[in-house]
Formats: sequence, C-alpha cells, structure tokens
Amino acid sequence: MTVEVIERVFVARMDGAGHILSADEPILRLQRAAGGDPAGPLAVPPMASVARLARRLGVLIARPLLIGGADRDVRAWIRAVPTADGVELRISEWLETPHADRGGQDALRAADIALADEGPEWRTDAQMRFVDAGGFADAAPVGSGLLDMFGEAGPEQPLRDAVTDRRAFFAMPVHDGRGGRWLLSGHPLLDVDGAFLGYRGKASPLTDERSAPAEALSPPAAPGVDLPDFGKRIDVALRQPLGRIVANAETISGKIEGPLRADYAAYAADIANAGRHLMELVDDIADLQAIDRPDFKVASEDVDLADLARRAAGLLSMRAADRHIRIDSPAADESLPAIGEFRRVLQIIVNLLSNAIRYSPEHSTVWVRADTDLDRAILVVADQGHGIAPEDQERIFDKFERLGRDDVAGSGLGLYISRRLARAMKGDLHVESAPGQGARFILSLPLRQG
Amino acid sequence: MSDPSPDAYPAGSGPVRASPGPAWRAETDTLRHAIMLQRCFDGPEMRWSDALVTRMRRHLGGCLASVEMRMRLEMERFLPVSMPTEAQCWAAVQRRPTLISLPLLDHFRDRAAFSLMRQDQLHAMPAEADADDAPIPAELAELLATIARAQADWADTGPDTSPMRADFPAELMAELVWTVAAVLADALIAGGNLTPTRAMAAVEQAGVAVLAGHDEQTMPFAMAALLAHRARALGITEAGLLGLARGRHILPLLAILGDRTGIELLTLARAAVEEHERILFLLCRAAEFPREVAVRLVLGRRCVVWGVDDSMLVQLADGYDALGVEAARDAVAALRLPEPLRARLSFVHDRIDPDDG
Repeated sequence: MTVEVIERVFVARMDGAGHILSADEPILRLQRAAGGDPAGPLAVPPMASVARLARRLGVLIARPLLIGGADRDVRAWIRAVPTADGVELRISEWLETPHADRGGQDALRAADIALADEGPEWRTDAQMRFVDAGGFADAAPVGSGLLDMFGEAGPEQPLRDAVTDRRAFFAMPVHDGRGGRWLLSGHPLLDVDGAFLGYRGKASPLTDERSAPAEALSPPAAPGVDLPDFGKRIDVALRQPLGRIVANAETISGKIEGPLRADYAAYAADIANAGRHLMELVDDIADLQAIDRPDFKVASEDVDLADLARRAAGLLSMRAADRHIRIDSPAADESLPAIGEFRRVLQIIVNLLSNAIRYSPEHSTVWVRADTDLDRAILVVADQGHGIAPEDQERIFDKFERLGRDDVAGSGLGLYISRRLARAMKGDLHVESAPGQGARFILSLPLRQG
Repeated sequence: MSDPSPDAYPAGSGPVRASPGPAWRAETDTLRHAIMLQRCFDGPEMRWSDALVTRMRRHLGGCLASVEMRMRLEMERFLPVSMPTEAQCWAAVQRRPTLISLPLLDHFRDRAAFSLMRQDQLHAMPAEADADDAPIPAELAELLATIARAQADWADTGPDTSPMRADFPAELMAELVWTVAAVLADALIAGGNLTPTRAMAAVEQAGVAVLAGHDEQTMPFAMAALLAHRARALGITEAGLLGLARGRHILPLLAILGDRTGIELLTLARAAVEEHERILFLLCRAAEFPREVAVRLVLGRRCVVWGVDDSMLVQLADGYDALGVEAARDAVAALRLPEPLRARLSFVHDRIDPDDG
C-alpha cells in the first residue's frame, strides 16, 4: 500500500451559511471534485458535516476525516473552530491512499466504463448521494441521491438491487423521472480496508438510434430473413445478460459477498473472463454492424493522441502486469493534437495495445510513440512478438481473420474495425513487421493545426 | 449504639417518609424499582461489576461538579446577584436521575470502565507492566504518553462530588453543559432573585462560554483517534500492537481498530464494555489484530463486566486464527451503520446483532 503524506496545514474559512470565504488549493480541489463552486456551499460531505456540527454546537470539533475520491482516498485530521461569523477549518496530517485493487477488477471495470457510450461520468458517496454528477448536474445537484434520480417503480428494481449488493452494473436502462432515458454503468469503490466508499460510473443517454431493450426488441423475424438491425439486436439481447454474468462472477471471485473456497473463487474468475470475452465479441459485432452501414459517421473532435495513448495504457496496465509486460507510453508532458472522435480513437488504441499484450512474450516491452508527419498525427504501437509475415500483413485487417490461431482470445474483428474507424476519421491504420522482429502498428489521423 | 432521640428522627423521617408530591414519587419510584430489579437480578445484558458502578458514579459526580464550577465562574460575570453557594447538580441528579441522558450515561460507563481496565495494569505482573517499552514508533510515543496521563486522572478515587475534568467529545460535552445549565437556571429561578428570562439568559451565556473553551483535541478519545490516524501513516507492527495491548492502552487500541474497520470510536468503546466476547474477537479479527491482542482485550475487561466462563473463552481464542478476516468484517458490518439507524433497525427488527452476519 502506498500512502502519500502531506505535512502542511490547509485552511478554509466559511461564513455563517456554510459558504466558502477562502480556502487553500487542496481543499478547493476536493470541492471541485465534489462538483461544488469554489465560493459556494462546502460540497465535500464529511467536511461539511463537521463544519455544521461545530457551528451548531458552538464547540471546537477535532476528528479524523475520510474523503473518498475517484481513485484514491484522502484521510486527514480536521479541526473545526467556530468563529464569530462562521467556522474555520484547519486540515492537517493529510494522507492520500490509492483505492484497493481487488485483483485488477477495478481497472477492468474502469476500462468498461471508459469504453461505454459517451455520457456524463458520475460519482457517489457511500450513502449513494452524488458528490460529482458530471453532465447532468442540473438534474442531480450534489448531495441528491442516485436512487432518487433514477427511481424504479414496481417489484423489479435492478438498480437498487445491484447497489444493495454492491455489484457492478453495465448499460442498465433507467429513466430519470424527467423523461430522459439512460444506459447506466457503475462499479463500487472500496478503500484499502474494504470499506464501501460509493459508486463511480457513466450515464450514456439513450436516443432513438440506440433504444432500450424493451422497446428495441420487436417480435423475432422469420428464419432466413435479413435483419438490418441485427447488430443492435444482438447488442441489447446479449450485452445485459453478459454484463450481469460478469458482474456476479466478479462479485463471487472477489469474495465481496463473503469468504469462499479458493478453487470456487478461481472458477468464478474463469466465468468472468469468459463472459468478458463474449462481451468483447458482442461489442465487435455491434460495431461491425454500425460501421458497415453506408450512413456510418464519426464525430470530428479535437483529441490529443499522446493523452489517449496514456489513458489506454492505464486501462490495460493490469492486464500487462499480469504477463510482466511493460507499456512504455508517451511522457506525461507530451502532446499530439489531432482530429478524430475521442471514444473511437481510444477504442482503436485499446485494440492495438490489447493485441500487443496478448501476442508479446512475457517480460517484454510494448512501446507507444507519438509523432507527426507533415499534416498527419502518427501513433505507433510496437511490440516484441513473433512478427507478421509480409503476405499476412494485409490479411490481418480482414473480417474474422485470425491467421490460423485457435486460442479463445480475440474475435478476428478488432483490426478490421480499427482500420475502418481510422479511415472514417480520414486517417489510416497499417502494419510494418517481419517474422521474429515484432510488429509496428501505425495509426495516422489528421493533425490539428495551431 | 445509643437510641435515636425523637428530635433527630421525627415521625415520618424513616425510609417510608412522604415524598414531596404524588407525581414526583410515581416517577422516581418507577425508576428506582427498575434500577433495584436490574441490580438484584443480573440479566445477560447487565453484567457490570460493583467497581464499575462505583467508578461510574465518581465520574458522573466529578464531571458534573467540574462543569458546574466552570458555569458558576462564567455566570458571575453576567449576574447582579450571587448564586446559591451549595452545589446544585449532584443533588438534582440524585433527585431525578433521568436528567442524565442515555448517551451521557453510556459515555460515563465507558470512561469508568477504561479507567478501571487501565488501572488494573498498575497492579499487573512486572513483566507486563514493563511492556510499554515495546516497539511503538517514536513519533507516537509522546502522544501515547499524553493519553495515558489524561486517563490517569480518570482513576481518581476522591469523593463523588470532587471535580473531575470533563474531557468529553464535543456532542456529549454540549449535552452535559446544557444539563448543568438547566439545573442552575432552575435554582436561580427558585431563589426568586431573578426573573426566569434573565436567569435563563445568564446560564445560556455561561454555557456558550464554557463550550467555546472546550477543545476536543486535548481529550483522550480525540487524541486516541489522532494516534490511530498517525499510526496509519507510520505503520504499526504486530509487536507495536502487542505493546499497546500488554500496556493496556485500550483507547489507542480501539482507535486503531476503528481506523482499520471504519467503525466510530464511541461505538467501539461501547462494544468493548457491553458486547459479548465473541463480538470482541470478531472486531479484533476484522482489524487483523494478533490473537494475543484480542485475548488481552477480552481478559482486560473482566474487572468491569462479568464474562463468559474460561472454557468458552479458550474456545473463542482457539478459533481466532481460523476465522477469515473478510468473514469477521462481514459479521461486524452492522456496527459501521450510523448509531440512530442501528437503534431504529434494532427497534424495528429486534435483531441487529453483529454476530448475526
């Protein structure tokens, strides 16, 4: 466990109504992370409750403080001193501790959420109140309850059940009570001691393009009839049951519900891995359906290829560590501006890195390099694997092409989809390799000028 | 022994003399009846030793006296008339024990219990008494010594009404101050020298002033929590935990337990005195304390509560290492819930037993 200790004392002054008059930067950082205004009411629930108590009782309060963050917890010592016109908070003995990593599950779940359809990310505290409501902050102010916003009527309450059981959920269709429909994904956060800190996730808006399962599933067509929305059907019909299987298997293998024999936990981990593989296949087939349509479009957004490469490397770091593979990604201060759709570019890089990790020998290195070539932004993913013969270098971009491999991992669609996506973004994807020399996959996108 | 003179013992002054009024008597009698029955017929929930009851009265009387004294000093600044010279609060509590709220009583009991458990260490075997030299990180040693010194004051065995430092957590201090304030206001009003409005304003001002001077961080409970917070940063070894247990530093141990399990220190203090031994073992296991620490914690409280017999204790200790940490955490998870929620759940379901899992 790595604990970072900060020995300074940070101060915040509040007025009689609990609004911040002044505060040191680390406190403001927590305030912003909780979705609060730097001059508004204190939005960090544990700090706000101590401040309220001191103000209400008129007594100095000195307590330990635990604030759950997105990826780490802050523990500190707080002294709340009532003053003539409010409260002064003095926060010292500041410790930052990364969240517990339960066998890499959190990283995998974070990867799932990062790759979910675009939408606001959110975070709750242990009482399921929003501490960060992201893009739907207007509908869900900080402090309001997630279960209140996405209220469920009737005997079936899958969201409430998942939260009660501390299970992860993925693409769960929910209504927000204002007519909005969302696909909600989330996973529980635990501190290093296993204490529940809340949930973190993403809400992807449901549009007519991507309907909820109940509305999307029309009566099945007759056998042999072409299904123009086959990808959508398979997505909604398989994704959610698979999501439930993976989440439940992870719950069992992580022993979240209680102790379990080690071999049973290992079986559950196998189920989760197999389910995850099937989920990837479903994703690929759904993507395939989408990108093969003549009206397929991608967004043109300002993206930073170096930043995306670092994010992808972070998402896959646990998988790489399992095989003792080091990912050498661009330095933190490196930047490579390009034009593309954020989620699709991340999808391509994750695919390239996943392949590199899968086919590289253990204890090797995968390099990710960002560069420019005239008006192109170039990202190279290079590995130390067996390499690809020249005659196969175009075939690997074909549908379902796996070069004769019969291992269960991979659908044979990833590179096909990645190249189609790159070309839809006015870029390209190709490979340079020779047998025994490793492979260099080169993604190019339009360079963003200025 | 000489016969009592008729003047010293007038008619009706015996044990059955009339009380001031029927309503007062009914309330007091009901309460006294309940207390007598509880003391005479120890149920499973009432396992306190006589030493604990005596020490608890000492803490109650001492803290009331101390707060009353401070209130009087503050009130002298605001009052044109002098207060009645005799102490009011202890006598008021004797007349009406329900003036002391249940949370305050809980805390008085816990302080008293910890003082007896710590005091018992002074009479322990020499090898055990020297155990304070065990490897506690140097950065924690001074704070640990400060906590021990503060707790030494809790072992004072003077008269019940001799002042004792009211080193309470903030919420309980507010409760105690306003209890004393109510008694003093009542005395002032009964004296007839002040209007009720002025009397209440005076005690309110005095109460606010006393509370403003209360620094929770210099109190043993808060200091123990601070020690646990620092122990997390510095890391405390098994040997360090053993050192704390052998030296009977109960509060710091419980604070570390609370820091590791996410259970509030006040809740743990209550559990350490009141809960079944099985729960104490589960709590220690949830915090990954060595078995010896758990055994010492359980044995250490035998001077304050009657416990299970030795064979059961041996059985619990023998099963300690085989008990999974996750299972122990699950079993005590209910103690993490906020106190009002636990109380209401207990009331509604009558089954919030951490042992229930």
